[in-house]
Amino acid sequence: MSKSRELHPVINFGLVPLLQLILAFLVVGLLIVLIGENPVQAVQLYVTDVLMSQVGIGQSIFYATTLIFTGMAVALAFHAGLFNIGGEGQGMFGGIGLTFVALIFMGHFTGGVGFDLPGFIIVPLLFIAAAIGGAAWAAIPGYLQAYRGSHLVITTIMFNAIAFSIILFLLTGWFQNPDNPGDPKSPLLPEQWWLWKVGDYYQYRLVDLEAKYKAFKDSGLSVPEIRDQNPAFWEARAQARSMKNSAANVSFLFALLVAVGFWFFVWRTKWGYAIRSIGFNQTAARYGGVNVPRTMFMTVCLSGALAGLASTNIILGNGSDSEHVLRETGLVGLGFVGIAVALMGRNHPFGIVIAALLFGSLFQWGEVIQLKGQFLRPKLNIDKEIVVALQGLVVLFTGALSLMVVWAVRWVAENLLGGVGLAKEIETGERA
Amino acid sequence: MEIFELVFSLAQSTLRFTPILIFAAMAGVFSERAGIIDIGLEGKLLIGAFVSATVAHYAGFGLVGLFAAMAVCMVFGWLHGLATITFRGDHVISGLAINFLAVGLTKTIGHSLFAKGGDTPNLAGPDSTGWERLQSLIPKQVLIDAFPGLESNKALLNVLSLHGWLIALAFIAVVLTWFVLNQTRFGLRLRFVGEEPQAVDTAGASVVAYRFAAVTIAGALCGIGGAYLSTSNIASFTPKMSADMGYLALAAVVFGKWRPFYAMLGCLLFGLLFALKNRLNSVNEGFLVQIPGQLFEALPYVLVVVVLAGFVGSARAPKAIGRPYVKERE
Repeated sequence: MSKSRELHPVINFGLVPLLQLILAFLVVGLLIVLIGENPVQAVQLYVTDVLMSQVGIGQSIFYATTLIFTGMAVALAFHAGLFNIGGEGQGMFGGIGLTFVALIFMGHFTGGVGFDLPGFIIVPLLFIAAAIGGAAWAAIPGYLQAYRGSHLVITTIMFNAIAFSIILFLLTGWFQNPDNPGDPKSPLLPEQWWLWKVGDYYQYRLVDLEAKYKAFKDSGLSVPEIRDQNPAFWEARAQARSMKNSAANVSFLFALLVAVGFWFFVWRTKWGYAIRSIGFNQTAARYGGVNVPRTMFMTVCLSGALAGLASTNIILGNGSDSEHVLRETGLVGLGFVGIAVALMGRNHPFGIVIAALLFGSLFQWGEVIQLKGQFLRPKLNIDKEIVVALQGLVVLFTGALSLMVVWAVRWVAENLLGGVGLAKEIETGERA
Repeated sequence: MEIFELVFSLAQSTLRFTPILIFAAMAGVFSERAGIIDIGLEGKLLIGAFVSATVAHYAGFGLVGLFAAMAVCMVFGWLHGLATITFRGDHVISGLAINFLAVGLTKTIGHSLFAKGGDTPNLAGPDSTGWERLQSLIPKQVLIDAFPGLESNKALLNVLSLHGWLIALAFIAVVLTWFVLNQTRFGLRLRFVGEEPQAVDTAGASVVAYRFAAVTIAGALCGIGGAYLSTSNIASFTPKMSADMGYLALAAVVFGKWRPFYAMLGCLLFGLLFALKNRLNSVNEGFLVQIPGQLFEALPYVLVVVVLAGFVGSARAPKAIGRPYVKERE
């Protein structure tokens, strides 16, 4: 490789991912055309019901919160040259750890005799329990990878399947809600532990607004009259009613904080340095004094802890009041989406947050298609699993076929633009 | 007597699971011996199952579905090759992408074709001719219609209709894989591409061509495995029906130290675990009732991890596995 003028960083980290994303979207558009649906309609739905809708944005942020954690879980392992695809199972175990501690405080195992401690003590404990649960479930594959050479990819996939059996076992036994046997669900966690969410504000406002509405009705006004005479009130009430379950919650800010911590840990501490060094060159790292197996083991555990934390958002931050429970669905597939998020975000927390927001909105788009598609005229009959196909394409184009786009862009820059977009004369690789 | 019956039914059940694993494992052997890690076995099985069930439904012939499945899986093999060989992408990432694509595409297309939540129509319905499925090469009903006397002679009927021919083919595939890899020039070079690509290049053979050949064969084998899954084992496709079998097959390849016969043993072992799981799950008597069903569900996966952790410490993967081959400059 003699002429190896690399792409300018702006092109490399801005234009290239964008092109890769566009390619993925084009293929999905083609797929929608092939199954006889209208891609324009699908895009319209994305714009109107996800990007332009308050509910849609709220849900997107909710999913993005989980994705920031699962994306960082994958990215941390990537930095060590490892592939942790056990986010789904580790997330389940995060949920199990969280629920276990929560149930102890609720007195579930002791016949209703719990400890009544304030939420600001218990909620952090629940977060720690979730992280420990995830780390514990990652520890075994991590140990096997580090000390026995068992391939992490295979063991974590097996552990996803095992975690599913275990969570089902717990939810039909020890963790099950005694008031509702037959439904694999844990008891509802008490309200004072729920995370503050955007919907809470609207619920709070809705109390006043509904009282006002009742007053209007009592004064003898009909519904259309109320609407026409007080458009501002009517609008506010409609908004509050649609937003009262909005799940965007305070753990999004926590996720951003952890993302900053991730950056500091990976690029500014000696542990992060050790992790990156074994990802770069294990032999060199060993000669440099890094304990390779131990670093590997710790990395996988930390990665599992991040995946475990992802469950806090699903359980404690859920938008629906009856869903603050442990379910066998775990991270509802967001553990796997984390792989696409990490790849698109180039394993950097900033990129991960952006990619998580994008994929959060796409996840919500899938839900909207499923829910609203059949009521549109003409019908939009697309299965929501199309988002999984899109996710696969993003993984393909940003991960596996990444060089295809890089080479194409470099060829254009070299041959058509006369070197515009290339970095300054930095010779890399072997000289001719 | 009872124990004999139990062993017999377990063996039968094992034989039903194993071919899926064997086809995928042989695909894995070809691929990995040429230096290509193939996590995408899982996805290709799923795609093969979907394509064969769908095409068999429309064409009315299971064999047409089988060939279609092989063709489509080869295309996905080429996609893997394009990513890993041509563009030097990460093998695991490319395989995962194929697995995601498989889940998404089969469900989306299945939903839009049949509107049954991703399932394909039942191939063994009342108006089926018998040719749709691949359990027998020649449908039993056709033979009975031609020779009415056969109906009473089940054994002869099974032989004449070549009942379970795909199961036999799976074991033949193992022998063929061994033969091709160890007894032919093609196989020798293929193995060298996975060990010392430079040597093959120096000898004047194309590393790229051999690696593409490997992913093509892997695709075709996954297509057969998928077809077995949805048109022989049962009579329709259901979403995510491959149920991690591709990963298990890959584990069997590692367990078998990348050798066809040992990998087959791994497949038989894992197949037996699945058979045990199903068997024990359906037992409603004695002390077994006390054991929760989820334990049996998890059993095969736990044992796969145990086997991998316990036995594979000394296994050595092909030397150039997962690494792109970059030709040296002339």
